[in-house]
Order: sequence, then structure tokens, then C-alpha cells
Amino acid sequence: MKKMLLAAFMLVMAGNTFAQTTTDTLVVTTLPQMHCQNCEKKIKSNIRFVKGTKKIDTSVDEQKVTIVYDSKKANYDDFVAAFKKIGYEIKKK
Amino acid sequence: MKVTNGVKSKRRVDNTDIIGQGQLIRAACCNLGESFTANPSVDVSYSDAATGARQIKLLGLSGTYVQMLTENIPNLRGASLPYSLGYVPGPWMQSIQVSKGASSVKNGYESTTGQINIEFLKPQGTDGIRANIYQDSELKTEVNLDGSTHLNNRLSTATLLHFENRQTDHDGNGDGFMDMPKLRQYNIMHRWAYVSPRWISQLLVRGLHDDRKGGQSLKHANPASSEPLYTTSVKTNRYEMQWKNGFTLDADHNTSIALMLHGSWHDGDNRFGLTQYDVTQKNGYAQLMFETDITEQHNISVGASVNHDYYNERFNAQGTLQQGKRQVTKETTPGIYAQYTYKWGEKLTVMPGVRWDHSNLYGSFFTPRLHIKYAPSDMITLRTSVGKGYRSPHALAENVSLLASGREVFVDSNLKQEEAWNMGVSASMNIPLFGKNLELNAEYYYTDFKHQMIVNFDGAKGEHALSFENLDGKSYSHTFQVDATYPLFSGMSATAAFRLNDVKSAYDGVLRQKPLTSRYKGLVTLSYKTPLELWQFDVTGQLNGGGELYDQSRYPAYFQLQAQVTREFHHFSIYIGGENLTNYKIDQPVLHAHQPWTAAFDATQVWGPVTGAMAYVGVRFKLEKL
Repeated sequence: MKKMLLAAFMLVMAGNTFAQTTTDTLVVTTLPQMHCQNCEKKIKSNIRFVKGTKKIDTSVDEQKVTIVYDSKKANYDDFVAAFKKIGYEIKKK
Repeated sequence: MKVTNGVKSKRRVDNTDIIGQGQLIRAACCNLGESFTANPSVDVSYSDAATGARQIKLLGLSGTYVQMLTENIPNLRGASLPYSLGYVPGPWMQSIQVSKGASSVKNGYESTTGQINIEFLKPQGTDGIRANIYQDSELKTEVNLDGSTHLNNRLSTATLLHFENRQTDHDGNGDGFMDMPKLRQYNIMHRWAYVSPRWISQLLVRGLHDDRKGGQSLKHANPASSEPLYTTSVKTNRYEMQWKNGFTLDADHNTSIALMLHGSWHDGDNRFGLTQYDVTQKNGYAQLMFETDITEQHNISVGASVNHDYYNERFNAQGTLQQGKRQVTKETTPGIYAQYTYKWGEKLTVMPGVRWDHSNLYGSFFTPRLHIKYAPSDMITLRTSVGKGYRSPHALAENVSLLASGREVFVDSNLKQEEAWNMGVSASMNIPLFGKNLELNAEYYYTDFKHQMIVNFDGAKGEHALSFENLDGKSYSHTFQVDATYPLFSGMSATAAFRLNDVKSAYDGVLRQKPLTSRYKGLVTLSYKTPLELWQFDVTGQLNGGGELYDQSRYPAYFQLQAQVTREFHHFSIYIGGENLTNYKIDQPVLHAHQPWTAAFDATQVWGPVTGAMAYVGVRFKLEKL
């Protein structure tokens, strides 16, 4: 029984170790600029499907998009490509 | 912003909930009738246990007193009313606006307790194809397909298709009657839009075929019985055309002229046992409107309209006549209106309006209405409204499902035009609480009928009588509602609402509670979206207070629960959910079900769910140009 518990504990620990992520935050501006809620919606509803994306915040007032992502699963170029698909160029802010 | 039961429009002078697509996808929303499940103001219930027809109640009163509009033009009136909630497929809708209390005089005189306006998907606002496929555990299948394209930067077109089918013959309560009718519906809409800086034109044509068959079936009927089966059949064909034009004359002053035209042809063939009621309604409506901002504070809107209704009704009660009794009614009502709006920034809006109409049947009548909105701070908005509403009653056309009984039917040959005052006050508050915003709304409405068509069951006309007669005495409705919405944590929002109804009418000189009207309603909705909104979880619980049956005995309060989970993918989403999860059913939806050819037979006293728990699954697919 003790062996089984130990094995289960090690399995959980191993899972946690492998599940560890490296979270990174990317802040970008877009070209063309965001003008309204529809622009924000378009960006959010498409960029969320880039693998590793955890959170997206948009601000029309500050003209910025903040993306929290797992840097082991995605990099800056993945986001450049995803934005390009929906008609935007991005620049790091 | 209220996000659970609809967005409360802060800018509007009237008390309006806007139910957008974000809210519509929170439940299966197969059609208009199912779009109000999370809305505390609108009650939806089955009209009878035979046809699957649903009816709404607003401010505790029947849906006949709510003016239905499609894209701000009066529609779904008269003969189409009993089944109208099933005629508008959910995926076709862009948004619904529910306005409580007296409405603007622009749309006519028929709104008494409020207005429900449906905005369909517009070709100019979409570009691509969408599909929605739905299947439920009662084996109802729905398929929706729509596509739109922009031919150039001004001209666009869209076609919307809907098909639904349920051919199961299920009798869960063992009364020999199908719990829900067999149903097949084909529905098509085609529309065009031309949008230029000075001229906007929208043309819409629509066709619908709806076929419902219910009642007893060979599968469930008592084999020992020598009586013929009691069956019901409702066949409907409906065609509509709508053309709206808006011309901007001076963009700086929002000066514009609008011309709106609508025509419909509705044919319904109804059989309830041996009773036959067929109706053909033709309607034509035209409205011309001029609006301008005289200054930033002062706006004026004037216009004229004409409405024509033609009803051809054939009624054969219990099949006693060789040929149905035919009655033709023609009503033409031209009218003019003027509405003035005074705006003092976002703080104060005062909007008085008057209209004068003349009916060839009821003569001239005057409709005054007034709305005031006062927002002393960002935290509170106060509204009040008062106004009159009128309706021409059409006893059988608007209440056809009440024929699903053995009662003898009486229709007063001199029904008066219905006339009522409605007045109300409401307060919307935004209260900062623990760093978040608590939205609190409270409202009270009073409707007082001067003339009304009363539906009197088993009254002075006899023990088993259904009488459509003029009100003789008082008839009123008081409703008081409070609701609160609060974002519990990021992504999670909760709404709780409670409403009290006091609805009474005089029947045979005695003031009594209106039958089948719940005394109260409580509602709680919880909605959670994960941070990227890939998952959405929705739960709605509803407590319907008890009320009175036709014989003044009481029915109990009951609780209903529904839930849905939605998973979004890049071009599609899957939703799975359940309705009536508490599996609450009324014991006897059909009274004297085993003696359907007697006067005591009655399938119209439906005060709660007829069917039990139901599960569904659906897929929404979307491929739009970016």
C-alpha cells in the first residue's frame, strides 16, 4: 500500500514538473489601429487560437494588445503570423 | 452593462432590455419563444397541450398586449399570433429589444404593455456562411443555413433557411395524447440591402410552411375504445414582404425621411377533433416618417401610417354545420403622429408623443404617450412612462388554441376595441461594491383597461362554455420587479430577479384573479466564461409562483432548471444542454383525456411543463470573410 501511495505521489510530482509552463507577456500595437469593439472582438476571437495563448487584453484607448502566453508553446513570430491572417501588422510596444 | 438577461440600454428613454447574440447563444434558442428563458420580464408558456403553441406574457398580461415588431415594423399580429413564437428561428436573430411600458407613438397605437422588436441578421453586417444543426432527446431536428455576400461596397444580399422536424409519437404521462405534436416547418428569408451615405434601402421576402399534428394516436390510445381518435391538425402558410427606405437629407441635423412598407398573407387551417377553424389574413402597412434635430437639444419626428387588415374566417364548432360559418372583417386605419424629444445632455430626456388614428370599424381615437428619463448621476437612472394603447380584438384568430376543448364557444357579436392606460416607473442603479459594479433595477407598472375582450371560461354562459365577451367592470395589472446583476469574479456573472404580479379582471361581474397567471416569478442565472472564452457555462433556475385555474382552484409553484455548456473552436462551436432538468411535469395536462368527445374535455389548462427533462446537442458553424 505504501509503495502504491509513493508511486502515486511521484506520478503527481512528475506531472507537475512536466506541466510547468514559462509564461511570457507580449504587448503590441497594431496597424491598422483598433477603432472599436468590433476590432477588439476580431483580434480576441482569432488570436486566442494561437497555441499557448492564456489571456488577451485589448485597449482601444491605449492602442495596445496584451497577450499572456506560454513561451514554450508559442513565440513572437507565431503571433505576427496570426495577426497577419486577420489583416493586421504588429509591433512590440 | 447587464450581461446576463440582456443589456439594459442606458441611453434609451424607455425601459429596454437588449438581448444580443451573446445572450441568445446561452441557450439552444431554437426560436423566438426560447429566447426569453433567461429574461426575468418575459414569461413564456405553452398555450395548450395539443398544438405546441407558446405564448408570452409581459407585465403579467397576455402577449396580445405586447406589440411585436420585426425591424421596427408591426408584424406577427392577428392570425399569426398563436404560433408566432415558433415562426422566428433563433439563428436568424441578431438581437431582440424588449421595451416595457408605453412605447413610442411612431410604431402605432397597438402597444399596451410594451414592445418586442426583432432584428434579423442583416446582409450588410455579415459576409459568409453560417450553419446551426440541433438535435434533442425528443428527436426534434433543426437545421439552419444562411449565407450573405457583399456584391460591392453598397449592395449586399443574404438568404436564410430553416428546417425543423419532429415526428415522434411520445406519450410520457400515459393519457393517450401525444405530449408534443408532430411538427414540420420550412422557413425561408431572402433579403437585399443597399447602403449609401444618403440612401439606405432594405428589402425582405419570406415564406413559411408549418404543419403540426397532435392529439390521440393509434400507438397510445385505448385499444378497447370504440370511439374515434381525437386528433388535432394545424397547417399554416405565411408569406411576407418588407421594404424599408431611409433618405438622409441633412447629416449634420440628422434630418431624414423614411418610407416603410410591409405586406403579409397568412393562411391557417386548424382542426381540433371535429371543430374546424380556417383563417386567411391579409395585411398591408405603410409608414412615412420625417425626423430632424432642430438643435442639439430638440428633436422632432412626425409621420403618417395606414394599416389594412382583411380576415376571412370559417368556423365550424364540433362539426355541427355542413359548412363552416364564414365571416369577413375588413379594417383600414390611417393615422398621423408627432413626437418631440428634449435632451439635456445625458441627464434629462423628455419625450411626449401623440397620434390620431381613424378605424373604419371603431371610429377615431387619440393616443397620447409620455416618457421621461432622468439621470442625476452615473449611479442612477430614473424613468417614467405613461400612455394609452388600443387593439382590435379577433377572438378566434388570436386564441385559436383554446378550441382544443369540448366547450361550447360564444363570441360576442359586438366586441369593442380594446383600450388601456399603462403607466410605470423604474430605477436603474450602478453601485460600486467590493471593487466591482452591482447593477440594481427596480420597476413598477400598472395597466388599467377601459375596454377589453375577456375570455370567460365556464362562467354565466354555462358549465362548459368558452365566451369571448366585453369587459363589464374592472380589469388591471400591477407588476413589481427587482433584479440585480453582479460579476462575482473574472468571467463569472450572476443575476437574480423577482417579480410580483397582481392581475385581476371582472368575470360575470365578479373581480377575480386572471386564470393561469402566476402570482410571482423568481429567476437566478449564472454564467461563466473561461479567460479566452473558449468555454462557456450557463445555468438558469426559475421559480414560477402558483396561480388560479378556470374553476378558481389553485395550482402550485414549481421550479425549473436549465443548463448549457458551449465550447468554441476556430470556425465552429459545440453546445450541449438540458431543459427542465428538475423533470417537473403537470399530472394532467389534458383533462378528461379518456373522454375527448365530451364537453368536459379540456387541453387548454396548461399551467406548467407538459414534457419532462430534455437534453440537446448542437453545432454552430461559421465561415465569414475577415
